[in-house]
Amino acid sequence: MSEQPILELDDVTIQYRTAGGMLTAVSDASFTIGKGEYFGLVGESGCGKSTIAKTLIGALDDNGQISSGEIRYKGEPIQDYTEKQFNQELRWKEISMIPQGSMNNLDPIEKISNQAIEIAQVHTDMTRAEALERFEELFEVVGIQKSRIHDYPHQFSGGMEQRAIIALALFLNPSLIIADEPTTALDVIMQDQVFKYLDEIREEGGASMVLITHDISLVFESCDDIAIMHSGQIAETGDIETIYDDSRHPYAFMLKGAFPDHRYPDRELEIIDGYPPENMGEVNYCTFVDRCPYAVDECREMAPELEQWEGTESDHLVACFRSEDAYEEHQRSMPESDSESTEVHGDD
Amino acid sequence: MSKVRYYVLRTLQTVFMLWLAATLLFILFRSMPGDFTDRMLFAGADPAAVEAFREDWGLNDPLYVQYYRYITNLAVGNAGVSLEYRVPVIQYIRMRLFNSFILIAPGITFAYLLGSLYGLLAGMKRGSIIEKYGIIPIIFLGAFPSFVTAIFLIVIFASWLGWFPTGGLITADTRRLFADAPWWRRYLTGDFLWHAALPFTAVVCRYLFLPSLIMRTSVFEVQGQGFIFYNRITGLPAVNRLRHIAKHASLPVITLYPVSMTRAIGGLVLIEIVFNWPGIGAALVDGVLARDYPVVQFVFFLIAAFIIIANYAVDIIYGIIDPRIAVEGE
Repeated sequence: MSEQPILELDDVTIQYRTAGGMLTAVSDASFTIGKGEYFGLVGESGCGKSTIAKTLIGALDDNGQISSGEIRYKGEPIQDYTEKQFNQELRWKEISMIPQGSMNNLDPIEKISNQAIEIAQVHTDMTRAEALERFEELFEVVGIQKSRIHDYPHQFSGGMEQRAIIALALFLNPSLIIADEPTTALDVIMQDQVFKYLDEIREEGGASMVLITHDISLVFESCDDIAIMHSGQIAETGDIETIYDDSRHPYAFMLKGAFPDHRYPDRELEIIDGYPPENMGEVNYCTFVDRCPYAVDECREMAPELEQWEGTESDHLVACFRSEDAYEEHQRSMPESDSESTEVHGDD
Repeated sequence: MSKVRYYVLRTLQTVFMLWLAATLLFILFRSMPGDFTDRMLFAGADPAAVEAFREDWGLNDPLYVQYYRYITNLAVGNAGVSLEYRVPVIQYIRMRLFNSFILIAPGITFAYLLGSLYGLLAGMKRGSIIEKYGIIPIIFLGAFPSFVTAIFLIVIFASWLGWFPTGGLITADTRRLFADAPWWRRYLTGDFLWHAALPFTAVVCRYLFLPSLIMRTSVFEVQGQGFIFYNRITGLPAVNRLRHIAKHASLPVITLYPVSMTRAIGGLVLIEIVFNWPGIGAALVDGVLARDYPVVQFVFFLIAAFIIIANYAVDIIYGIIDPRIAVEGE
């Protein structure tokens, strides 16, 4: 990738101060997102996905901190930015966000149009009329009648409010959109529609996106690259095709096995036993070790680093000491899942 | 429910409540043992004269006739004649009501503004010293019975320091000076403000804790809402975010404001008496002691009506501030 990446995370560790000590929510996470790229961040709840999302827009909870590592936005390190710097330089003009649980994101006692105007006037020189015109345009993009920009949030259904939030995320043409579980509260049909709009956005402008979700199949459908997280650590990352067909981290292929696959409709879904651990202080072990059937002593003694998977040219990185043996054992236990490659985006 | 229908229904409801209050008061007062004539007899009046008086004032008529007379007169703004002073009740109450109002309205308003401001400050800085300990003196003041606060104020600022008068509305000199001027002229004097300072302070002390506590809690609650986080990540400056929070958090305070105001009109009897302030509270006490039913009944009705109308006003204003109200049940 010769172009300047939009976002780079370099061994980022994020911790929360709690009564019991420093809780490590994200441990040595690294990934890179290129221009116009859709990047999926997947993992169970509590694995640190949303912590990363909040960190990227500078809205980590008060007891949270970036303990080490570097976050670069368009090459500029932003991990030490103050609230004011985030407001003036990044928020909404550069980085926007579709937060989790979008139902309550808008101020219920103010017209949606007024909230849009407020955002526009804080960040740009747009007049009221210009802001309204731009917002109307976006309402049409996300499939809401433009006359409804003057409604109050409670007059919208959940799906409409979600689309209004998407429209607001696009409002000032950001380079990076962080979508944190953008469809969690919606039914399947609505989910599908929202993703249709997100896809349209990709075709229209060059915005990159971080899609955060627990639903790995959504990422396979709509992203270019993926990172799979387990309890603060990134287990495996690479492009969609590679991870879909050839994931090598035990958590990654077990997680894939836990979701239904239309290629093997009769296959029994796998179950990953146990719960992700709470990590206090320095994490110098693999956080998946207690749930991993392939774990050995080494896994408890140090944290595996993300390493280039042998035999691949793309950026396929795996953080596992046992990936080779584990993969072979897993393949043997599932005779029907052959390694034959299948088209990824061919789901619909 | 459309907005218009909501307002019409709410108005009808208010009229009904007013009627209900007037009727209940009538029933209550007629069920009480003893009336003005008992006091006349007790004072040694001639029983024949008392009987003539009863006949004259319609006290011997059946209750439903009395009720009909009472409710129709009230509807056209005639509250009867004071038995004690022999002047129309409305005329007797009018100035006293104004005196109470001019003490209570600025007092409560100031208490609410100050309390809301304090509550906002404390709520925004949860866990700070001002949030933890700042509320103690406010609750302390509010927990005192109002007449104790009033007496303390008089002892300290009137007796010891001599900065303010101990009571009354205006000095006799001022009264003489503006005897021929319009009635409102005397309220536009420094002398009036000087007299009002201590009672005003007593009212503020008494009512400060309610808006402070409500606002503080309300700010806590609002901060947990989703749009607070959203306003932060969209990069709104602190001032804009505070405006959103204040607007939300003040909703419950706005509900309480007129209620406090009307309750104060009935409830600050003691402050009025301590400061010798010729208000409605003092009139009520005098009226009860004299068994002057028309006056007492009307004052009670006024207090009830204030609360009913204040709640009506709050609902209407709420409908404007909070758009979610009017479409309830849509």
